[in-house]
Amino acid sequence: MSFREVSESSLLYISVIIGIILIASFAVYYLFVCYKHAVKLGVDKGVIKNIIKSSVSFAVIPSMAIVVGLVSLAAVIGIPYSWFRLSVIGSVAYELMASNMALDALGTDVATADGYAFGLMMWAMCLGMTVGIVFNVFFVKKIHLGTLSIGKGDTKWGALSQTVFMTTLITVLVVPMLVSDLPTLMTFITSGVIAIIITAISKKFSLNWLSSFTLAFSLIGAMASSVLWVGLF
Amino acid sequence: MKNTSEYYEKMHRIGRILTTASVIIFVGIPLVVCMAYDIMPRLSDLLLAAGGLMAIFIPISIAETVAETPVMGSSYYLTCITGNVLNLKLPAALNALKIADVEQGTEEADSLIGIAVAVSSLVTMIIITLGVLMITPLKPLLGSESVSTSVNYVLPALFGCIVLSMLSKDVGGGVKIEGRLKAAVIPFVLCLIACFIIPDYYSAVQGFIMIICIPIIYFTTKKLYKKGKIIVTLPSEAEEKKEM
Repeated sequence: MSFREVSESSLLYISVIIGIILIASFAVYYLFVCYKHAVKLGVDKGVIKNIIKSSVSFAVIPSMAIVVGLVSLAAVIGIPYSWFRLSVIGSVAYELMASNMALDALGTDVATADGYAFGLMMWAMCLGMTVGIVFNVFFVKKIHLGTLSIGKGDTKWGALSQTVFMTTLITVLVVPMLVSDLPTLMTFITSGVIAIIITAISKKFSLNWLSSFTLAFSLIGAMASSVLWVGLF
Repeated sequence: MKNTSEYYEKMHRIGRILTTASVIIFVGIPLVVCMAYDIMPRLSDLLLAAGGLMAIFIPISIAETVAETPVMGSSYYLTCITGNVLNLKLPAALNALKIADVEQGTEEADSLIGIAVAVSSLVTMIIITLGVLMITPLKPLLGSESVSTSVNYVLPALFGCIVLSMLSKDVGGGVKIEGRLKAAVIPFVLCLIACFIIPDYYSAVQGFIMIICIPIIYFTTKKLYKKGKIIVTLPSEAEEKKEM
């Protein structure tokens, strides 16, 4: 069979649709469990609603960025498997790297590859990341509960110690944005400035609903500004 | 205390079951397709194609798990299943904590992060599905110069806003902390050095950088807290101050 006959086959489409529906149903179930528990703990339903609205509004733009990646990935490995991989665990850079390594292993390229090469690509993409998440089954609970037990005897230290991980994560992620290039730095600053302006407006005019959309508006505004910064620098 | 433990036990049990089921789905699709078309790869080809990837990505994902789990809590299972941790799930989690104004490391925070992760995962799946359905008409728009430029700047556009919450004294749940960023100075400098030495590999090894930075920030924070250079004010103390 040819590469395209397998990569665009109805069997693959059906498998992918079933896979996505199952993973989506896991997310719906998880949402339901967390919602129920948050309500049980006394979290205001209005606050939960705001979190849902805010998560929806801000997730749209990064998801559209993934769709842009989908177009380039689909050109290499076809639509159905790109659709599946990017809807779940994968990323464009990783999938392209894995598909290239599979083709290199066979000494072929996309133009001349056959169905066997596609099979190898699927496994290469699947194994590299999937084996990593198997680790979660054995260690996430230990890591999570271990960090929660820090500072149990001292309430103040307990509260402070929980911020350590967030501080580390943000420090490590943000530093390259400050030093990589000017458009990245300016986009970063623009996002912060928009957030400050929105927070000030929502406080001054008591527009509580607006603060739920701070992240979404900052993201859209800063991404749009990146085109200007790239043009300028 | 008993209920807290019960809640976390339950969420980790759910997370493990969902991860196991997802792994079966991830592996099941290539298995079904390769068996149906008789294109199952030979082990030697598979080792050649995936061996290098696994050697790189397994240690990276282990390092990221150690660094990201304390922040994402029991939602880390779903976070990994649905991917896009840094550009979607982490910002969604931080955003949820900010909106709800809850303290990190509490059950409230854990369940609200779960809501944000699940919702953002579903949104991504819906948007990508719409993208697949409209891939032909969308191609000219998605391939335009301005769109391809702006999608390269998703992370700074997200984190510019998010970093503001880190600068605030208010860490949620009425807890105020002064001076906690002093502990991040050394890791900040270390990250700067890493950026200059290995600019092209920084993102690939950031999981390991996090693992190095966690104990540095942890022990510096503890030392500064004990010396009184980092001051924590609990909600009850803030109330007392107001009354006085």
